[in-house]
Amino acid sequence: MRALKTILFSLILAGTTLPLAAQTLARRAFFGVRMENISDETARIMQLPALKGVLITSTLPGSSAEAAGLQRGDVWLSLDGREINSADEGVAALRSLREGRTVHIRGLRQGKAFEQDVVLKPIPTTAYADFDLEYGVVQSGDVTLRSLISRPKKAGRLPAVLFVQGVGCYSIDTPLDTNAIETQLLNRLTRQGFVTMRVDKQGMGDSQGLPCTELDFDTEGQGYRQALAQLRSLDYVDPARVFIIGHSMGGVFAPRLARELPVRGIVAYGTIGEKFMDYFANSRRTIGEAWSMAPAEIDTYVKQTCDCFQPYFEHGTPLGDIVEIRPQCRELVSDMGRTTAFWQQLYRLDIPAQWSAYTGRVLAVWGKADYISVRAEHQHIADLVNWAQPGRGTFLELEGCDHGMHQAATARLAAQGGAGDFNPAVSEAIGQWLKANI
Amino acid sequence: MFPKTRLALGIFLLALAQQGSCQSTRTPVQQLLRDFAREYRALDIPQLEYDYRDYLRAIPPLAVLDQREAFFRKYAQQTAALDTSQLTEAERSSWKHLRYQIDLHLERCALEKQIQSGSTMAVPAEGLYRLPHGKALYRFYIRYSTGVHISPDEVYQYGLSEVAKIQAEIQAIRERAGLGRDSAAWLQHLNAPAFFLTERDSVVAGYERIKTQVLAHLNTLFEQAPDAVPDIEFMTWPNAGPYTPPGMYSSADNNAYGTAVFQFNFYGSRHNRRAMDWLFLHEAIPGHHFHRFTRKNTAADHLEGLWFAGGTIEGWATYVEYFGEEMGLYRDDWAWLGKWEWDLVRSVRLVLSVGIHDRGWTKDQALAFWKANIPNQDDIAEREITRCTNWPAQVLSYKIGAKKIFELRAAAQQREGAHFDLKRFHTRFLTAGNVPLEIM
Repeated sequence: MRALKTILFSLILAGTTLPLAAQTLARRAFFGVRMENISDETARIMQLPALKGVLITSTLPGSSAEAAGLQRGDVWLSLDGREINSADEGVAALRSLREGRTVHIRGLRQGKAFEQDVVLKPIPTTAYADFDLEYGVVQSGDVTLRSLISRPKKAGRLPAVLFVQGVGCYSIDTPLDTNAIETQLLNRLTRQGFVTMRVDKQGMGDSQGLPCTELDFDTEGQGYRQALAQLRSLDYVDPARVFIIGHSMGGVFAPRLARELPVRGIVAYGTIGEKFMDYFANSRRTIGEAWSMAPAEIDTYVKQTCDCFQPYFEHGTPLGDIVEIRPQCRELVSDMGRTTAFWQQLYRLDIPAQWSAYTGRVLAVWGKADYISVRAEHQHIADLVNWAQPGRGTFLELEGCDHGMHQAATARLAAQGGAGDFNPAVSEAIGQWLKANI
Repeated sequence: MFPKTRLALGIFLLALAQQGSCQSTRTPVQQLLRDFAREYRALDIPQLEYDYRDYLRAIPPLAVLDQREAFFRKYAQQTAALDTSQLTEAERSSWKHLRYQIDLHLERCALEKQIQSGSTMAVPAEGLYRLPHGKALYRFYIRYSTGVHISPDEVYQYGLSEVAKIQAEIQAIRERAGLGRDSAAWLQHLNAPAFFLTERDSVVAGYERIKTQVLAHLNTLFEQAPDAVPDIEFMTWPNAGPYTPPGMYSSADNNAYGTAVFQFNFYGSRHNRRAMDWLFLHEAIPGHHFHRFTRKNTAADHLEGLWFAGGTIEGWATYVEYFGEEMGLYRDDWAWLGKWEWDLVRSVRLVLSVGIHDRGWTKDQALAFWKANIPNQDDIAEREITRCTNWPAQVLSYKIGAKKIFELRAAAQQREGAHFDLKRFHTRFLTAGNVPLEIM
């Protein structure tokens, strides 16, 4: 009887701890509007009194905006007194909001002012019939991050993959966009029998912490480290068959993570294989070629851009100061989207040494329509691995794939907005390699 | 006891049915259309959107296909059994439309069942040709996209003849410009700054002038009064890139501006003057905007909104591009040249589409055909070949649609002889609704 009570207690505990942990992280708000900036042309056509606000082009089914009665054609002017004058400002104002709150908005409808409260609903979760998708949490220091774990409906300890995303401040938890490449890639790998895990950066999706734009490289890496540790410890994951897939900047984090927590192999897609400054020069060349610059023009562009950015990466010299001292840099430098500390930490990394030190198996993949990263650096990663551990490094060039794993015929087409959806060739190639190396 | 109960129940049901028929003035065909539309929506059959690979991967299991087939067979029987002698003209048109769609869907069911029953193979990226049922699937795609019964060989031959005809038109313009033989000078001339507007407001003013001109001439070919046509505004296409099409129409019902809008590509702060006349005709009046307005004034049936008649919509917009002169436009060779330049692209697409999907052309063969026929536009060749490959037969809807409308017009002319009235023909076409050309 006592034993039964213990089991029952454990079951209750088991049944309550996981949801409780998930509940500690509120879902982000599902405001649910599509927006378009108001230009002077929009103002003319709609006879708006001023170039203020942002135009709502649609409300999403099931969203807070729809429930509150916001309509296509409304001009949204402010949220809780904070002015909104572009789609970016709208997204920024909504980013930190969580489910359950009530916000006050002001706007214009057919020329007349309106204001109203909007009760924020949670962004939906996604579920699939043929595998489980769990919304979990990862604790990184005192910050809680949102994780998504997909799990095949199979018994036993399964091989697993941690996906580490690129440098940008975007969420990997996109229930409204099932075409997102992370979703497409990881769903397909799950259907091939792999447990997969991804985690949102601080400030993105449901994750707490700093805004992503204020997050440095090392702190971001801590989140992935904790995620990897958790993945390895799951009772349905075989810790000896855990892999990392690093996409773009994620490919730089991957061998660092593997140094601390061994993994069987790494897939790096569209990543960096040289020291950052060398990569920066190489990738400017790729970009120049993708934008059809003349060879001489590319040489100048590469040299000048590197010269302009060098003091920023090396010493943290503010970009404004660089432009003041060297006015020719004005057209070449722009905000890099992350903190100066992020780029300085990256600049100091010995990326080739990380790959040389890694003793597991490596697949370095480069899409032939990648207009950012560099073919030779992927070959270089495979060479570095093979030099230390012959036969363990593989370089793979994929036809018709761009930097973002989308379908694209050429880099030129992809760079100029001509890429399509996720290219299944990526998941097929990666899945094949993973299976061969389990 | 039992028979009595049954009798009572029978009377009760009869009473209900009579009550229903007393309250409703719905005719049997209207009831049939309504039931069909409701059940069809519930089946949630996806339209054939971009990329045939996604379509093929999403074909449901055989049990679902069987269920769909049974649904269409049931309605095939019901529509066949219906007494059509008393139908109004509008009802007859809806009935014909329904019969057409049932037939088309049964063809789709049969194909999908064949595909689903066949051996599993990776879906090739090079087009339908290498699929076991690729040729039949491409024929289906043609019918689905254009609403016209036409074989791939006919499309191919028509494409070749149109390419030759348009090239001859362009050559004649070159010769009149004194550049008939000097290709380098001709290409240089086409890029002359005079051909490009670089001020956004000049483009808007240009389109306003074109609108005034077209409305002033509307009565030449159409019965509708110019002042009845709802206003249309002009603006740049937000975030247009080098591969964004030259222009786009969105109706007041489909945008956030509260008014119909024609957006033009102003990428790189330039807009091609040569394209303005035909583009306005196609996107605005008497193209999409005018078509939309006339359709809105026509009573919709229960089938409205279930399908998109690509050949009817795009075919009409392409058909009216030929009437620039009647609409007070195409005042010089250069406006005509703009029309022919884009028409050449559309005609080459016909040949590419059939080449890729029906004749197994490789990408290199497609590229070679493009380069041999369209000078100086290699930059968009990749995009066009990708589009023709991924979206089978969609590119046919413009030219094959227009061809069919010219044929319908010729047939009406022959039938009605001296009584044929072109304006009346146009009204009949415009008010027929969103139905496939084959049943017009």
